[in-house]
Amino acid sequence: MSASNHRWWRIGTAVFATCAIYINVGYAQSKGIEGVWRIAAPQVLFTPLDGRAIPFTAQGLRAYQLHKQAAEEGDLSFDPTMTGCASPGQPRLMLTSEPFIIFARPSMITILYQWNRLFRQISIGKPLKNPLLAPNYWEFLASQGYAQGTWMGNALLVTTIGLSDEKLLDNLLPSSDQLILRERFRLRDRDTLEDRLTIQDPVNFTRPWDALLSYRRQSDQLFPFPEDVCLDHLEAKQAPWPTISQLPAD
Amino acid sequence: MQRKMADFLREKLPPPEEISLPVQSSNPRDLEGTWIADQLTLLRLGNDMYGLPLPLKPSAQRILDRRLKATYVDKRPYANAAARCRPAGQPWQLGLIYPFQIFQKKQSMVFVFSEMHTIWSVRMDSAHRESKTQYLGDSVGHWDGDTLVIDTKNYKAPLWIDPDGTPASVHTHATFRIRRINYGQPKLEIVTTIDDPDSFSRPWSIVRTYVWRPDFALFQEYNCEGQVSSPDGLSQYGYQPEPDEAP
Repeated sequence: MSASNHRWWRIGTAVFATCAIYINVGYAQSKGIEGVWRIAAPQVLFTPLDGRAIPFTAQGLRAYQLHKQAAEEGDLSFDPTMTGCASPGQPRLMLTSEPFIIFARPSMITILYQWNRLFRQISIGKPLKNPLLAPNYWEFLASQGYAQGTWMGNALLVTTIGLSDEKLLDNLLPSSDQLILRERFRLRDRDTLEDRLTIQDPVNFTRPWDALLSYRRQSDQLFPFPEDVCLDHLEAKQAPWPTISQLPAD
Repeated sequence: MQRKMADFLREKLPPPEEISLPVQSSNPRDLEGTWIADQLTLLRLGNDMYGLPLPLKPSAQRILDRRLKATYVDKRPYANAAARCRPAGQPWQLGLIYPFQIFQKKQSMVFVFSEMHTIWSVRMDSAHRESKTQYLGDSVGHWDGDTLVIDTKNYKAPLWIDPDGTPASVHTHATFRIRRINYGQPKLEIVTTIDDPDSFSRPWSIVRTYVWRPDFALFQEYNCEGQVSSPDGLSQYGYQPEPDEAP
């Protein structure tokens, strides 16, 4: 081996070792996010982290205003979660006021929500191409979309696409099939989990904007969760999802 | 017939892709992972694991006959739990060829089914909560050697044991004995015992096996609520409400 080749071999080995350590550290850190969590401050609306107004497009603003006016009049027919227990999808499910549990495994993060027994799967690394699913499965839109995650140190970076436009972003904000949801999960301390969301949807917003959700660790004794069946709540004339108590000022 | 079944299963269960997949633990008490039934779904169980006819009481037989007539003669099946987008019970769910995942913690076991986003939760080494009823009942588990034994009762609604409608009442006491087996291929074996004096003259058992398929871990999203939440949701799919005649 020439001196030059030897140097490149050593550099390559060092880079590989660094990457391997990084990935292992990432997975080791991932175990920290395991556990039962509940949102720290219950909310039904996202607010921009920078304190500025939501950067609506004309279409997005029109939809939002229609939703808001209808909600103020008690008409929630624009919201399939409220009227029929449809999955709130992402990112709205991350607003749930009920607890959820995270299972972190090397190839997948699974979030089980108490709310209507829904769950979210986040593939880590190369996604498993489930041969049970049709080859064009990924072309269909879904409430939860298709989430791909990667560990960067102790942060879990998640990108979700393929989100259905038949759901809302929160109790009022519209959502389109162009939405790209980027999230950065990290432990602020052992008992505090942060999810910093970047919402990019050129149909409804003129630029990407960020929101921040914070969760408090709950006792493991809360799990297993009681069986929650949204349709039973609906039949009992109970609101399937928390309603807006105070609408934000325009 | 055997060949047709084999072809069908091969088509239904294609081989995994050659990619890096999770490796199964060597610990026989580690049941984590993705599993799927490797036997055909039986529309009607008919017999127990020893080949004996299910000991249906006359009242339960009448209910089954009525359900069969509604489905196959009248072509207007009754709206069972699955049709109403409710958790359909473990005996039904475990008989389908849909993948499920097991997550395991010291204090609990959780079965996550792709169909009807059903979550079957089991509290380990715990007592039953007598006042609590759920569609999947109240489940507690313990280890008997390397076999996980789950004891389930306190069902909220009568069960359809199979898609044809073999009935079981809310008083069903179900036991699931679950263990890993390996006769050349790693599998999960679940022996289900149904003890329901309202419907059957004696307890009976069935056995099912499931193959380890980590490549099936990514589930298809299953949203059935939107189809049934409107007032005519069931009738537009051809279902009719079942007369209220629990066994």
